[in-house]
Amino acid sequence: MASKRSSRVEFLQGTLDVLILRTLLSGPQHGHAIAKRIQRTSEDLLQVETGSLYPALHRLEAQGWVTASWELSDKGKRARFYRLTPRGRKQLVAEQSQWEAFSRAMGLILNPADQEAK
Amino acid sequence: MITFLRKLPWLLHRRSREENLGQELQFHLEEEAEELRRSGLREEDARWAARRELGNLTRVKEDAPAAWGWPVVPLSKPRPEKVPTGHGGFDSRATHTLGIGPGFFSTLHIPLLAGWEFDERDNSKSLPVAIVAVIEQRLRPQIFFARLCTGFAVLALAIACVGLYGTMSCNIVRRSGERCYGWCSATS
Repeated sequence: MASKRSSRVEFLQGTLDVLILRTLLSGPQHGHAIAKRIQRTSEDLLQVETGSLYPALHRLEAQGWVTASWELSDKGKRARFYRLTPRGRKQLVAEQSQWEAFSRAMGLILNPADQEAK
Repeated sequence: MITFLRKLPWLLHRRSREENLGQELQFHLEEEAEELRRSGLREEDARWAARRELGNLTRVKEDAPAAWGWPVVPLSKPRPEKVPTGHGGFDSRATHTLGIGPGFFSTLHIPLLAGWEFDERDNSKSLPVAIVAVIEQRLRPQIFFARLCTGFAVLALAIACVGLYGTMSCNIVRRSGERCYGWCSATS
């Protein structure tokens, strides 16, 4: 567990927003499910701290990128579900293309051999 | 201005927002504990582990306003080797132990007026540090702008009323066949 934790990567600035927006693309989810989905999808590399998750969710709500409403979870408990808004969708598209460009740039710099081989 | 208008509803509904967050964190805690129980932990151990995983509930609640755009600022500067506690130069009303993750302020894009960003050295065992919200100071320009807008809005409303009154009275004058001495100089 300890080694797993130590291998977890730090969030880059602004990453959490994209991760939350992308996670909500598949449908409305509550905070706990969002955190777990991010953790599972990243194969345990990313763990969202509660201290960051809920402020981020409330911030996204304040920005109008997500909406929240109280609904019953699949276990019958009352939970606050977050939904992506059309504005949030646009923001996700914008941020995703930025990340792809950034990732490509990093790839080009970190693996120059690939480029040279081509 | 747009930023301020976005923040305003959150401020007006602050109490309900805080209640929502409290219930939300409680739900998170229960879900986490249930998941740990399913993985084989005893009831009590699962609760304790979930609580530990969630961190300081009060802290998360206190930090939430930052997400709504209200800044939170650590007072001490630069990072001291030993941080005084209690009344030792800090506002005792706002003295807390640290319980939030590294990069908290940069993650939330909260500008720091003083102090430092939290990093790996800051954990639950760290010495207490003061974190103070400086809402009024930071909001002064927005408040001034809002008041200015309100003034202009009232002025615009008054002018609109005068205009409407003028138009209506002019129409009445036209219909009744009297001579109008107003700006339009309407005659029957």
